[in-house]
Amino acid sequence: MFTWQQLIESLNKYYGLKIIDVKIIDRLMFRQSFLVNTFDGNQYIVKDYAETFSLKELFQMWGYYWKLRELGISIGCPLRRLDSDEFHISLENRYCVVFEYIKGNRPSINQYKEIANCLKKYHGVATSKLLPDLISTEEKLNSAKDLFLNFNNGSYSIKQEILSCKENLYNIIDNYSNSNQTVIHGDTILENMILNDEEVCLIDFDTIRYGDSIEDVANTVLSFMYSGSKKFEVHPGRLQQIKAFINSYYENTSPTDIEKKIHYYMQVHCVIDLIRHAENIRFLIRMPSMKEYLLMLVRVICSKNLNALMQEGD
Amino acid sequence: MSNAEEIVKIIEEVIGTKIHNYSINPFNHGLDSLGVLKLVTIVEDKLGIEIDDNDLTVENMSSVNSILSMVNKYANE
Repeated sequence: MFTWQQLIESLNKYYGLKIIDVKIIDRLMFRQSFLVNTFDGNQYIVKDYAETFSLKELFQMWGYYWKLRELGISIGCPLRRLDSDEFHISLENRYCVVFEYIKGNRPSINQYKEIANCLKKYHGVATSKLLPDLISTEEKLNSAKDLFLNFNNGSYSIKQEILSCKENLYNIIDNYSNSNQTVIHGDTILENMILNDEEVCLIDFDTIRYGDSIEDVANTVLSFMYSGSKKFEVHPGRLQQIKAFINSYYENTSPTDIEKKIHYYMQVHCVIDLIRHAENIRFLIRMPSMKEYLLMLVRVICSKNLNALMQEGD
Repeated sequence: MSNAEEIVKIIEEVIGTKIHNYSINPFNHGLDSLGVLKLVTIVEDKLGIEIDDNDLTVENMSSVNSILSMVNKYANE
């Protein structure tokens, strides 16, 4: 793991940043993000990625931020190095990337209009033509049944709970029809949004893929349900804000059966997120709050509809 | 094989590198968050111990020696 001194010297050498101080703002186990203050009064976020990530895919994703800015999306872009077109530097087996910092706080669910506007604006420009080569929701679901079998391996807590959702999970996969016109964000939870000067901005595009924009809407609805609960429990009283958010996104011209569709795409999101942990479940289960998070995904996968899911929180 | 040799072998398997010096920082040789979880879970299985997640700190993982000290605390209980 690199030292702060290495980080400060490298940021100066490769990006010309003269640093006043560095603070850790996010720590997930041993992965960290930093907030950097510079002498010229600017602030930046430094994110680090393991070298096991594909640099080709990362480079495409970092370039995507700049494409979005050209299309009028408010976004914190990654800086390019002074000595090349690269965005990243390598520090002790990690890729470090410096992002412009967007000031503000996480929006609350009562700011559903601003959140809906943010997603609408993003989906309005994020066509699949913007990026030539990206994995799709359909491709992720195609491998999901095989990956699910990994949950059978070894001994770990909540094994039975996870295995119990197999039939529902298979049905969700079988019912998916190809709809991959949009570069969806893929993780539109409230934690990945910043309210800046009455406008909500998306951050953290690490999970972009081709899909249907309704997947992002459904993902935000899911975030509305459990946001603020350390145990990822559903807040039953939030149905009103959820419906208002959906109406706001679709400008009161919601497609037929919209709540049914939202619920289905919420399940699609939960399948993809659950499967992501299948190969290393024995180890990942030890991460803080992971058990509660996975149980929430299982609850959504097994739920019958949006209303029933909301009532489970009672 | 002693406990220490067993643990070093597991670290080598997780990071995919031969360890010649116990003072190296495994994070600078490919260890990441998932690797730490793999490492401690496999060590627990091999030695029949249970390591408290609160001991999975940067300090306790900052060298092969510090990992050995942390694990030995449990192995000697």
